[in-house]
Amino acid sequence: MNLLYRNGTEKRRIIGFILLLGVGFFCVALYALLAILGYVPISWWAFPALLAFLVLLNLPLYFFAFQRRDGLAPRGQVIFILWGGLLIWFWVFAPVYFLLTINLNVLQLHWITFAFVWELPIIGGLFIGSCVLYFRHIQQFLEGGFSPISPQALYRRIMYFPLIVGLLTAAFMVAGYAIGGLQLVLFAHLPFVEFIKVLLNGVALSLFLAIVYAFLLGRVLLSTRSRIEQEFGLFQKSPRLTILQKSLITSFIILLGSFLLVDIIAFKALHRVLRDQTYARMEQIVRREGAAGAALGTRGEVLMLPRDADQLGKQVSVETLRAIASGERGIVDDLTRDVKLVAFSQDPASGEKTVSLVYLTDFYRYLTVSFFSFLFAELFIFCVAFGVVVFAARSFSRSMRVLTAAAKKAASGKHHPIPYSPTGDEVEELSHALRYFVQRTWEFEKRLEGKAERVSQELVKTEKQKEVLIGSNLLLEERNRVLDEARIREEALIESIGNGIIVTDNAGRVVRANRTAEQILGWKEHELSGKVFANVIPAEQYGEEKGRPLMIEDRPLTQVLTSRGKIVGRYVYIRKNGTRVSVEVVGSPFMFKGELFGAVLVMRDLTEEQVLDRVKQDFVSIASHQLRTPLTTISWYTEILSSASLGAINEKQKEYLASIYRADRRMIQLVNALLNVTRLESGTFFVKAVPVDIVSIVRDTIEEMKERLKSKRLYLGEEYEASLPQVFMDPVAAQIIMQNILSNAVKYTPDGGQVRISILRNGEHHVLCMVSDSGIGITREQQRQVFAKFFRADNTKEEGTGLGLYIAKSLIDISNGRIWFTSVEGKGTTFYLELPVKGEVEENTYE
Amino acid sequence: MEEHKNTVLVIEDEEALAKILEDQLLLSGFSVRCEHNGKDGYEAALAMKPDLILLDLLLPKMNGMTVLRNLRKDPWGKNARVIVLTNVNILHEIAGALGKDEFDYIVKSDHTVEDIITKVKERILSPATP
Repeated sequence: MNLLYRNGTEKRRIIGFILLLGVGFFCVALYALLAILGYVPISWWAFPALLAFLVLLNLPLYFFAFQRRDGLAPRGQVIFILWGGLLIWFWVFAPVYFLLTINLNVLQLHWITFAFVWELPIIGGLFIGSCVLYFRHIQQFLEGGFSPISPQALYRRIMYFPLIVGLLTAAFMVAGYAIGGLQLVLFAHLPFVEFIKVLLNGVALSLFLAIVYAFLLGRVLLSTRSRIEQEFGLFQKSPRLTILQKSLITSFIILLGSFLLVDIIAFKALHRVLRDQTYARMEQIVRREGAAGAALGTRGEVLMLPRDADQLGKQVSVETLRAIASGERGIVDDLTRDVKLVAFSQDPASGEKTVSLVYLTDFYRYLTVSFFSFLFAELFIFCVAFGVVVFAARSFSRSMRVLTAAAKKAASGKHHPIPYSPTGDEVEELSHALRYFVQRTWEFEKRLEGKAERVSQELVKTEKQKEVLIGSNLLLEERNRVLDEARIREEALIESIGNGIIVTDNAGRVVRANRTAEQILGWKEHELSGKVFANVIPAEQYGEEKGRPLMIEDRPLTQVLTSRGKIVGRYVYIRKNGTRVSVEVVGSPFMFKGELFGAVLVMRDLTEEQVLDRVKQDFVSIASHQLRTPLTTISWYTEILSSASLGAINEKQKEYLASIYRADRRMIQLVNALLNVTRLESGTFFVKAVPVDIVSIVRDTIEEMKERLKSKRLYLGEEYEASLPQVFMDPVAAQIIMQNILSNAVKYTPDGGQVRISILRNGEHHVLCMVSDSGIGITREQQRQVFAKFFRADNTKEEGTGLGLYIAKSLIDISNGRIWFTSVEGKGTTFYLELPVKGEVEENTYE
Repeated sequence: MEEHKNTVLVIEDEEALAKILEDQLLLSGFSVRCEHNGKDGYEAALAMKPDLILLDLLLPKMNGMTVLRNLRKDPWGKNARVIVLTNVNILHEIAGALGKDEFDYIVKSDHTVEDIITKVKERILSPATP
């Protein structure tokens, strides 16, 4: 049945059991009814036996339910508990107690049997139905997880459910007893006194059952209550009963019920004594003087039979009438309408029977003193007992309270030791366990605190790091963006630049090659990428017609990577298609914090430049040719004319021809100088350093000047160190330099002066050439400008181009030499020429 | 010895310069022939096998350096006496072009006609280059 079980699978069996119960119940009820009607007997044994039979009928049902208790719905549990309680109480205990305490005659016994049989299913059913009705919201919550009423209301319902059940139990039980008692009063003439006892019985017994129910159902609903507390956050918000309160309430109710029951038994005992005493007195009287004198008490009356038979019939039971009819004299108990003793005796003469009715309740007033003293004693005992219970419960619960308080404090986080509770029971064990547990927890907490401290410090650190990280992340993003921009700019720069750019790593592997580099070298970037540059692209010496391969150590990239310095040079690379390309390479390493990351080669294609150089050079050649050819023609013809080999010329003609000749010579020198300057400045003055005997060049130059030295009557001193090394420079350049320096010395030295030349070794790497004269010198103010282009000294009227020293200085510079001078105006000048012995640059152009 | 005049071939495109050299060389007793371009000069040299050649460098049709290079390939020409006349100081260029060839050179503008005649005389009297 769904009423009992969560699912319907057990329905058929349950119905079977219910039917069995129903049939059994019907049979017993029918029997009890038939007994009332007098068809079947009911003895003092039959009554409890019948009820026990009904209880037995329920056993299979409970056995079945116990086996399937897991599937039992909460409502089912409640029903089984309530029904079980009712069964045991009202079909086992109550009848027994009833028989012990209530005075019943046979008729009343029949009726009481009937009442017990029908009342339990009917009133008990109503009771259970009421409880289930109250339980329905809890059931809905438990079945479906929802509650039609507010959680608070539901929680209250659960909290109060045991109490409600207890109250309902008391109400229905008292009602049941009242109905049963009234039945007996109405149909079985139950004395009013006994009715009161029945009611008191009901009250006392209902108290016990209410307590039992409350505890049992409270336990059933424990898990549900805690579940609702957790689900709706109602923990500790509802009123609770402490152990003390619970035990006091329970003790009070049980004591009350117990004393009530004891009172009833005591009353019954007193009643018995009263009845026995009355019986004894009546017996004496009846034996001595017949029943007529035995009408004791205020309401005692004497009836004569058969005259008062009707009246008697109303006042006594059938059994009493039967006993009166069957015996000559005697005393019987009668319980019809009142508790009484009926004495009777027969007049032997008339055969009349005298019946005296003695109402025992008339004597109850004699009982009251002893009963009230009993009640007083009982009250005293009750107070003492309850006092003891309070004391005991308090002392039990005190240790619990102390423990609870200490445990609460300990739970609040502070180190609070659990007090030792020497109660000698489970509380003591609990206190031990709790002490140990709290101590352990505390120690553990201490350790944990240490750890937590560290962890929190770590956490703080981590948080800070996180912040820093977030910050640096933002920074990084910004930086990345800037870097990206920079990269894009650089990319655009690298791609658009007119120079070829090769970037390599520190092993010489190509990382990057721009478009111009691709065009220059004839290789695509992806073909070069990752490969060692030197392995892919052969290099040759620059400026040699037959390409001389560059040794790996002479390659610009190798030099950059090994020297970690910048290099500039001209090289020839072999293109992919085998053609040669001359390039000027600027190589730089790129380093970061001292670590070499790679190198950059910036290469300029010299092909166009070479074409341009050729053109420039051709122009210079042609210009010099075209300019000098007519000058040479003038020179030669004037020479021949003035030599008079073609005929005599007069002095005047000779003088004019000489002027033409001198002007022509100056023109030639000027053209030569200008051409030299042009070539120097246009970079077409190619110098090729070779070992040169500087002394022989000086001697040749002096030889050319012999005429002028002679005409100016100059003394020429020559001093050459023995075994001088050859200087390493371009011979033409050396010649031009010496011509310029020596001709200046001759030119600016007055007639009869002297010019000295000395050449000596100057250290390992240089030869020093000194040319001094006793000439006019150079003014201090003008000494700085001596090597400037077109510089002309103020202190002389000598002809000159102003280019000689400029050319000499330029040529010495590109020959890796040095030139300087000392001069004192009016006394002379000395030029110092430091010329290299071993050239560092084999070939170069002056730019 | 009149029939045994030393012959000089002047290869010079500037006619005025060629003329004065020719006149002066004739006066000095040389047999002289003038050519005004490289090609004619080269052919004349091979044809008349002169005792000395005065060779200008900048010449039409075939430049002086080519003439010299071609001469050196000829069995006779490889030992011929040559004085190179130049207008520019480009000695190393000529040297680079001709390798270890032996020749004199004269910068025209820096030398007088007399210098040239003297040089010619010196060269012709000296033994031919090996």
